[in-house]
Amino acid sequence: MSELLNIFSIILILSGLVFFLGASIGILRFPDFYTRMHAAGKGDTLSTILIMSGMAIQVIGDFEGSSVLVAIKILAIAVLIMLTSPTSTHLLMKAGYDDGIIPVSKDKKTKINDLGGPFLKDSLSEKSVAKKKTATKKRVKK
Amino acid sequence: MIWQFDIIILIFLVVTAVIALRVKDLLGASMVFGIYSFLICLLWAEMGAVDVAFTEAAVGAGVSTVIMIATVFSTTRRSKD
Amino acid sequence: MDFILICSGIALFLMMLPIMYRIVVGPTAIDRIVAVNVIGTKTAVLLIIIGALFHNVAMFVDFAIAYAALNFLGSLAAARYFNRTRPAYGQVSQEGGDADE
Repeated sequence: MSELLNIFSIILILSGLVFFLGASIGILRFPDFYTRMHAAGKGDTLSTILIMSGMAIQVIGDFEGSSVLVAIKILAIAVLIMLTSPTSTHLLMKAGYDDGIIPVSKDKKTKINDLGGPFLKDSLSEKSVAKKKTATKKRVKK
Repeated sequence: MIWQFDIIILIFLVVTAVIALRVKDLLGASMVFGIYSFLICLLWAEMGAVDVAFTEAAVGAGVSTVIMIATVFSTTRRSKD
Repeated sequence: MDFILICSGIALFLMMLPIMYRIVVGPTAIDRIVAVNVIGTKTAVLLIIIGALFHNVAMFVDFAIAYAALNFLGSLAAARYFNRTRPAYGQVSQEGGDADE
């Protein structure tokens, strides 16, 4: 029985590592800020859940009182991270969006932000911010 | 004392310290200090001193990163050098 | 079993390298905050693995819970600061803080 649990927990831990590899490569290679946030928010949470459940099974070994409590606490960590990581990623994305980061789009010409809806501000990318600053300087000189 | 972790954490510490100096954007530098305290907290935990690691985590992640960000936003973002 | 835990710990560390690269290069500051957030949750996982290696997970579990919460707090404060004191790009900021990036 414990041999089966051992193998099962090893499988869970290894799959957690695989998902984290996917997440870290996603953070490295995705073209644009929003897609990277995507990878960070999801891959990271899923790998944490998998590794934590693997460790919980590892700890639960002989089913007597204290180790069950520890395993429940480990699963509580997984739930906590499952709740906090997406919310913080979402908040950071909102801060980035207000900051005027433009998602990459196929045709380079469209400067407008395709994330429409009520929050659409004239969000500008770095280059047009510089243009805007020089424009205000010229206006001040006149 | 798990010596494999020791070596990797110490290498990471050196790498993080060098990154913290090199990053031009001050907010990035304060973020890298957050990571530095994360790694030191891991080092303490790995050496068995859990209470020291806990205070380091509380100070590093909880307080000093936030205070550094607050100072960065009340001063300029770009370091002059 | 310990060998597998040590190998997974080392693998977790090595997989943090792309995130370190993202911190160094990250075009916007928020990329760096996200990377710090990811490394924070991974550190919580590593704490549990270290606890398992010491065969005394009970001591490390409470610590990892508090750690995950603190990490969330840190990135929350960073994002929160980004919204409040950063003038929207629409109007030029009066005190002329150079909000370039």
